[in-house]
Amino acid sequence: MLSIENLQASVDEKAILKGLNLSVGAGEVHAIMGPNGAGKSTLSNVMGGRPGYEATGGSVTLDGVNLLELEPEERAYAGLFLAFQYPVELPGVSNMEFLKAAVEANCENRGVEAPNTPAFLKAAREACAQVNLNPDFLKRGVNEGFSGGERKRNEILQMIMLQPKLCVLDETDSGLDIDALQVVADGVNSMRSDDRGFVVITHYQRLLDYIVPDFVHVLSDGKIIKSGGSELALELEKNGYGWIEQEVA
Amino acid sequence: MSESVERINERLASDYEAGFVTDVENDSLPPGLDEDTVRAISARKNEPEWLLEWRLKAFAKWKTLTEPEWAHVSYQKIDFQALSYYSAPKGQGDGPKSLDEVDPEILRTYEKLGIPLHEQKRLAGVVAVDVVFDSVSIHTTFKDKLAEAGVIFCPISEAVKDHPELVKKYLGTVVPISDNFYACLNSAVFSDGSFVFIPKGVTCPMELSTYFRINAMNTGQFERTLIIAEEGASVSYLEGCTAPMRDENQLHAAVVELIALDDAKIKYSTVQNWYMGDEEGRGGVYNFVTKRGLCKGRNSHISWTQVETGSAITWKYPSVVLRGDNSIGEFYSVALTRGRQQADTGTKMIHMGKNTRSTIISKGISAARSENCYRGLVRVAPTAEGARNFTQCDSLLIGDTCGAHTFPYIESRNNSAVIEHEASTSKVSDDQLFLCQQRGLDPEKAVSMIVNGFCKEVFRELPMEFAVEAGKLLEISLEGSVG
Amino acid sequence: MQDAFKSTALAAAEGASDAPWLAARRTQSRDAFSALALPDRKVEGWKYNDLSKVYGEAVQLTSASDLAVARELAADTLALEAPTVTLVDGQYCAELSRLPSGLNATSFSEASAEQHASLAQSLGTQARADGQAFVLLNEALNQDGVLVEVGSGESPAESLHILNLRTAAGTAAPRVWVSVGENAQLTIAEHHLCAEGVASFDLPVSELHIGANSTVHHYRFALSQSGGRHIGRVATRQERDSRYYAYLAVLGGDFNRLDFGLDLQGQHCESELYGLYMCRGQEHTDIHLAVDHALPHCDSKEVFRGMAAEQGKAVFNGRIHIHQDAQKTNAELSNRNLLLSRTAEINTKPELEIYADDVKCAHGATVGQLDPEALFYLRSRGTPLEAAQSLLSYGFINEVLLAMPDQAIAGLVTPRVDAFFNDLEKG
Repeated sequence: MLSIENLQASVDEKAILKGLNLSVGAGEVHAIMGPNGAGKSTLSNVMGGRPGYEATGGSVTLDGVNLLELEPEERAYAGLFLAFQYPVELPGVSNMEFLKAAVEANCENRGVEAPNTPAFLKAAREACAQVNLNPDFLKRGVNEGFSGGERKRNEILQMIMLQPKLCVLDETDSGLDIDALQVVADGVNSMRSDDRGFVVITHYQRLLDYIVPDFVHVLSDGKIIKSGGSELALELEKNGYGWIEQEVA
Repeated sequence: MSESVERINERLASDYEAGFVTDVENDSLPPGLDEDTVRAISARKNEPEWLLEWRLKAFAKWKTLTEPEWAHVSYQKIDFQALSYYSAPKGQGDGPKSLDEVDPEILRTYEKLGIPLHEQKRLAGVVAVDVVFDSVSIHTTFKDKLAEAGVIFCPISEAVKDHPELVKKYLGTVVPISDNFYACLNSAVFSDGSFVFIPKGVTCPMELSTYFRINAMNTGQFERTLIIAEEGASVSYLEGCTAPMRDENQLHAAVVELIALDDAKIKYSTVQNWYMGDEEGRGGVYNFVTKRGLCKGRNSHISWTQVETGSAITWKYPSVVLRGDNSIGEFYSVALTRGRQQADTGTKMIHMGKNTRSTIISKGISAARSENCYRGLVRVAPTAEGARNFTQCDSLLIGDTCGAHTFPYIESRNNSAVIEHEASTSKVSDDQLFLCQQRGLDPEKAVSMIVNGFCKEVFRELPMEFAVEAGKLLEISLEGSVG
Repeated sequence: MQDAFKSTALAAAEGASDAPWLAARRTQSRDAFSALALPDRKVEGWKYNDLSKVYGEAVQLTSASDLAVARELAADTLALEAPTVTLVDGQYCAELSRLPSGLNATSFSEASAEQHASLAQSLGTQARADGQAFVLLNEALNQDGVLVEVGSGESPAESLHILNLRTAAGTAAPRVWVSVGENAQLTIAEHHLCAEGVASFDLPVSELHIGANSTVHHYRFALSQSGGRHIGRVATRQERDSRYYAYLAVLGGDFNRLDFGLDLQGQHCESELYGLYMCRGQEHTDIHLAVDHALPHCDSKEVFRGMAAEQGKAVFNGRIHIHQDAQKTNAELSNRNLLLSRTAEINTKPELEIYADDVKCAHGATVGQLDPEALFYLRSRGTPLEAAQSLLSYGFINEVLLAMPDQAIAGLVTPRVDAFFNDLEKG
């Protein structure tokens, strides 16, 4: 469903991604690992269309749609969901109104009927339960005064509500304790299905004990330099990235 | 400046939905201002001698005053001789007796603005409306129902005739004739406005509301509103304002006086959406308004809430004089400026009584090439033992061609008083916009959501149905803002 | 009253320095002063000032100084054994000066022809920006001043002290010019000390220019035993990557007014200003602060603490102006005040004027009394009321006192703070 071909991107005119290729089929979970500065977060930001992250070559297509030509919200309508590494606060904007507006906009643009208010409320409460958040949480401002763990769980909550085709998790595990990690992983696992793909970007192998990937890729200096099964992650954990970089060089 | 912000500002010069002109025949005074003008206005309204005297005294004083220049606004000086000081739709001069007498063209105007005057069309019994079109009051709804409760709600011109003792007793007691240049002018030439009297112990059974509209060209609107809540009474009042789009500037110089006796409560809300002028700053209303409440009695409570999105220039400081012991003053404000709007607005809290308390929450949003300025005074007199004030002023900037300013004056002369002031400035960040967009919200919706969130503390203070209206107004004002 | 003040001032100007290198500027300033309307309450920046205390007396340059008094006033500072340049009643005093070796500091009168030429160019370029009447008057009346030059790359180990001593009634208008080159470092302390009961009128003006990537610590204390009027102006300009830390204290004196201007003219500047003002009796103190952020990526922080007791009246006006180009500015101002008696008065006005959107600005101001809860807490632990009050009051101003990195210099203020509290307790 997702096809990234020869993607090049730069930030502040500095080349970060230098010809990245990745193909994700429906139902698959791909993990992307790599040392600091390899370009992991740039990849997710370029896919999402964050201002300042410019693709200078190549393509990113989701079910045949070239995402790079679209506005960020149009990418969302195409089915892309980005779980942020550092979710920002929206002071005074309650989770409830934010979710409702987002669900309605997505449904409308995907040609699906939006749930009526009772159905929406029910779904929102269920999603809260799923990520172990008190429903009162829906009344609070988006990420306003949230702990790191709450912010990450909120990301998963939004993911559940928006039912995307492709989920990109950008270091969702960083800053989480084991309990919170378990909750996040459970949320993700519950979303796994034959018609949905996942790209899990992480610095630590730990997350992959909970979300077991089908494929693991090593990103270094803007390219994927090695791919393998979930066993590759364990090898990385044990031996670090140096040996692969040497092997490739 | 980021691209998205640029786009917000490019399209911020939004359509002004209330900008149409109503085609009615007017009975207007020719432009110009002298003693005869004052006499003519008074005569047109068949006023008693004492009120004419009062007006003439104000006019004599006004001639000795000069326009204030300390506000953070700049504009071409007004030619007071080029304005007309009275304009009424033909045949409405004396005020219509019933809706049937109102020009259907005017009724359609209000339908278009979303303010149906037929009572059955309003939610039953929720809000009573007084409607002021240019210089005269057109219609007041639910008068009978209010009368049952002993509440007087009528045009002030009518109150002068029917309740002269009340008008005489209170008019000019909070904002004296010589208070300031514009208030003084208003005292000389005021045309109409609302009068509210809530007798002892009565809680007004419904929201009261006045809707002001300037229609005629080159006309100044000088309404005068007087609200009195006797011992233990309470009332919630809302005013709304619009004007057609015209290239010339229109002047609006109103005076509002509130008086709360022992244990009385007055809540005054404003949704101000006068025409702001075009992108180049041509036209628009000069909104030079004096609003002041007097907490005269013990435990009295006056609360101002304002949502200001219109006007080319706003000069307005709804204030509370806290004279009664334990009295409470509040000011909640949202001021949005865009295009080339200039707003210099804020409040004054004058603490005189013991244990008086005041709260000021001000939210300023500036975009495009506008200037948004908070100016506030908290004064604690030596007599104000135990006075407390808390002030919070937040500014939100959209783009780097606008200005946001904060000028708080704090004067304390009592050592048992505690005054706290906090101010901050922030912007709609690219990260916030991106998060919203990634979740499928277009930037326009995202900005309006973030701005609404920023204003939440103030919207909470508005009467329920107006809070929704205010939110929508803000949304419309920001609409078409992002491509 | 203003007219009489002005005419005596113009007459007094005849007795100012006759140094030829300053002649042109002096004439120019005197004429400009003569043409200017003097400020009064109707002028926004002076609305809380009762200038009758200033205009009520004739301007007359001090003629007869008392050297014995000067020695006494200078003792504490000289005891620090640091380089010191001393002016007594506006005139250079060699006996009480210790001219430094490693650093170029001198009085105007002793400066070289070359220095005079450069001074003639630079004097007034910063302080006169807003054409203030009293800066012009300083220039018209100036008799002597202090020039400090720190070359690029230099960083003198010792701090430099400038003593302005007032021993006799009358007017003095001393001037200071400090120029710090690039990658340099300087600690400078200006002391304005007035002996007890001297009806002095001070019009000091200091200008500091801080070169790129340099660091300056600037102490400025105006301490008067009693009596004395002081209208001062400080104007500091910072170039890129520079760091400036100022520590102000104003105590005593019938009438104090300080206009402190900071102009950030380079990127990545860092500035911290700390100030303390305390007045009692009939004293009046007004501190006007203006911080101008002209360029991006600068951080400024202002912390001011004020107290007014008895019939004292304190005024604080802190303005932060962020110009359109000054994106990524962080500016933070905190002003807290204590009213210690029923008859004292405090007026504060923290202003923000912002024309750039990507900035973080905040200000906070409070006026209140000592926290009764805290007082009760201390008393319940056995601390007597007065001691508890003084403890809490110190706590209130410590944020400023402890910010001073050189506690030996800070030590010149603390006795005055102690005296302030002691006198209050005595009632």
